[in-house]
Amino acid sequence: MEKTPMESSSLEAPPPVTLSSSKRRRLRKKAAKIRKEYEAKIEENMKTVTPATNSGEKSREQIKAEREAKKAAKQAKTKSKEVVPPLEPKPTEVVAPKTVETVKEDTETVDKSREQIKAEREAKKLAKQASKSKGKAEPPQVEKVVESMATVSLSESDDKKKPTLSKAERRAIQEAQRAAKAAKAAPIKPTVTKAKPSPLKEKSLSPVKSEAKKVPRDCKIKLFSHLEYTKGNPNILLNGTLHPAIIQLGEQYSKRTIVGSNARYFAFLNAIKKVIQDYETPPNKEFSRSLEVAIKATVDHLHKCRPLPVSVMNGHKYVKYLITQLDESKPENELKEELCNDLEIYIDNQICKAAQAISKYIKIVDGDVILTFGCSSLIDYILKHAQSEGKVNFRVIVVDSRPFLEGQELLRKLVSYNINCTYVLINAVSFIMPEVTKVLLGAHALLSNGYVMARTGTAQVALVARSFNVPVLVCCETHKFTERFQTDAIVYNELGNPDDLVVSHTCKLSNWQSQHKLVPLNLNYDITPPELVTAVVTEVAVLPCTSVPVILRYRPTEIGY
Amino acid sequence: MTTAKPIAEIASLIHSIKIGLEGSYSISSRTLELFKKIIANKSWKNAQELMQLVQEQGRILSSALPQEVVTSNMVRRILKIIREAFDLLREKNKEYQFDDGHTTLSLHKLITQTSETSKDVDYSKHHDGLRDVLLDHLQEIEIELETSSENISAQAEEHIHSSEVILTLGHSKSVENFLKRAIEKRKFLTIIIAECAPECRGHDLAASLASASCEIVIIPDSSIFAMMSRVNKVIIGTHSVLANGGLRAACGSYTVAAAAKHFSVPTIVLAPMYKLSPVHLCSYEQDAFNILGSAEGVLPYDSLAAKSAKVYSPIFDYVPPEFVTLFISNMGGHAPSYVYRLLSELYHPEDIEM
Repeated sequence: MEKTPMESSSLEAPPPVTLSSSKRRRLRKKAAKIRKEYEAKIEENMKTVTPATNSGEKSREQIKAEREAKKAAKQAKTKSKEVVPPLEPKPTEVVAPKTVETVKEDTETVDKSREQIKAEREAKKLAKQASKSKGKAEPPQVEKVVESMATVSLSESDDKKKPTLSKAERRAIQEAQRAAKAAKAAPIKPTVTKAKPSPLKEKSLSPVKSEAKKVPRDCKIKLFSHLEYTKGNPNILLNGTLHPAIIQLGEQYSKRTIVGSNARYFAFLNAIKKVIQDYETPPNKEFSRSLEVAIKATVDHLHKCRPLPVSVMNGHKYVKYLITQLDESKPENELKEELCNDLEIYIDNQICKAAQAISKYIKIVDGDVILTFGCSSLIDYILKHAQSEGKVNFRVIVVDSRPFLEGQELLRKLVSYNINCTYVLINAVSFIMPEVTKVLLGAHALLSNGYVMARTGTAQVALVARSFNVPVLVCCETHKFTERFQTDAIVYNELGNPDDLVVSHTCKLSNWQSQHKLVPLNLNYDITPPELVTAVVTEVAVLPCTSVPVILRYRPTEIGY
Repeated sequence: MTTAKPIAEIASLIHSIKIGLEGSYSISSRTLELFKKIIANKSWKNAQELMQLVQEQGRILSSALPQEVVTSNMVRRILKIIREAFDLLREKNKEYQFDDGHTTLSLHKLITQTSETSKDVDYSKHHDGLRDVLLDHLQEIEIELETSSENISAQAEEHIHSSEVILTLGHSKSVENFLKRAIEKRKFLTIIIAECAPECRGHDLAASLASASCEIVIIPDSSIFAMMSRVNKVIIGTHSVLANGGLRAACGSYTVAAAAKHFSVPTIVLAPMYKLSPVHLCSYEQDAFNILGSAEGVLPYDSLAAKSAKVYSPIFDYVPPEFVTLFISNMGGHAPSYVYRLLSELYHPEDIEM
């Protein structure tokens, strides 16, 4: 079997091993270790941020108490059934001191006696009254309270530093100070605090609120308010049930080390294979049912990391289909083996065989000048194949665009096959188009109405090619076909990091966040209308775009998606 | 062709443009200033001599700076003024009237005029006061030049309504002023700016337009098609306007205009009169009139592929006239099909070939 171009070392699956229980244990240990490290990191953060406290000599008990307090805080915070992540997201730098403070305070509440809490409440009440009775005039009074309290605490802590007592006092002072500040800053705020009487709740919410205030600055292009940019989402947390391979894959997806519809598809199926191999049926459950649920969970996790491409969705559908076809009477190990074999055959068919078939359909003749856009693994394969046959003389023009600059990757590969290459940016496409004889484009997905969803810029290349009367061929395996409909690139799309558009810090855009209503927009995909595409080349046949529903309709039923 | 030497000022202008004087406005105003000096200070006896002088220096300019057509345009404009001024003085001195009246040209005269006058006129006659008349006219042109940007942006209100979505590309001074005026006068505008890689001048435009009352979106050049479906108007600047109404504009304009055409979005081109040039694009081979910039911005020189791959970074794009809906100049709006007529008013047919 020939190696597919996207089979880079990072994607390579380790040789399939039937996992012994010891290995499984090891894996679990590994996951636990990762978690612990994460927690340790957070704690370290807190320590570094608040050097004032005596956190340096924190004993084990204290840490434990702290954790408990955190948990309590979180429970109070999220009474909704939102998935409660076991770890607190890393506090962002802006709000770091505040969060840490509150967390610290929460810990203290645990070992606080009743009296202390009472004292605290009283202080709060005072503060609240002060702020409520009339915004502007009152603050001095509050400050007075604060002052008096401070003196009390000072005198007390002076004669003998009793940690618990002074802590309580400090806490009360802080509380009062905060209230005073709130009263000073925004006279409307007290109503908000009144609505949430639980001190725990209020505290844990306040940092979140201040954070939320800054966020909307990012994505407020009116047209795109329905889409959101997920930047390496810290809220995605590893719950213990996920397989390490999936966790790794999720990281790779969200950091975009694995990009491209095919590469993601391939990596996904391989990861699923590992999940199946290592799967243990929980007691009193059916293998196939519980496996399906487990795989659903992994897909959900991956989707959170980065919205999944159509190919992966289709892959998931096929895996589900395979699982439903299992014969439950057989022993589990056999079933797993069967599943993995089926999957391997499927991968081979959908990627390697399909690429071979497509490269047969694409006829490259002598003297051809082929233009391509971005980096498609399939086009890489086709061109490599044509070059290795060595029958024809052709050259390739790689068109690329900021900010992804994926074309450079393709260019590097093509140059290494000794193909004569030219490289231009997308705005020069009309300059280079007169000499082109064929345009080959990759795709992210083919929609049911014949539109091609692909990396942004594809539609533009097709448009210019059309206006110069150059045939446009879209190369696409059938696993990228979907039943979705879409007529423009705005209804559904993925937003990339807006900061990617900034060239350097000398660029005038570098401080866009501070400018009024100035937003860089980094769209991931665009939609090419079928009238701009001459033909779609699939492993089944060379078709017009509009035949997508036909293929979907007549797809062999055993594929099932 | 005579091998005239460039006078010192011309040489220094060429030099300063070559080392980076930018912007059609500043180049053309510098050129005008220079020729004003020549006319005022150089010794010439009659119109013939002056025209020869201007032509010679104009030729030097255009051959040294084939891309900066505004300099040639300015030379043509000055030649036309010399001819006009001379004709005016001649009429005065001859002191005789045409029978059919000079001001109301008959159809017959319209047809025969150009061929007659060009041959008959003898420019070598000396006329008093030609210099003063010329300097007066040049002053007028200078004022026109200075107010052209203002005149264009004054038309913003006629073309932009509130809550409009406008797309532009790169950074053109006229577009900047035009949009600033529009932002002032209209509410809820959204301006989408394609950054125009590799130089990304769009970023500069975005930074200078940023204001509280207008939403500004910067997109990479690849998202032009994706965004075009929501755009109401495309407003772009241009480097020069060709005789057929086509444009020689910043690289990427073709895509913008083609995408606009695809979505039936009107494309408005801001072009002050001094950018109209009587030049035709003879072939669609764009390298005939294009120049290539440094490729470093496109592909870093030290990258592996740079060794064997060809890399291009063209500066201009040819946009055919059928993609342009409207030209806005300092004289008002014009359809692309009307450009040839404007040109015949602007320049003397004899001067088109320099």
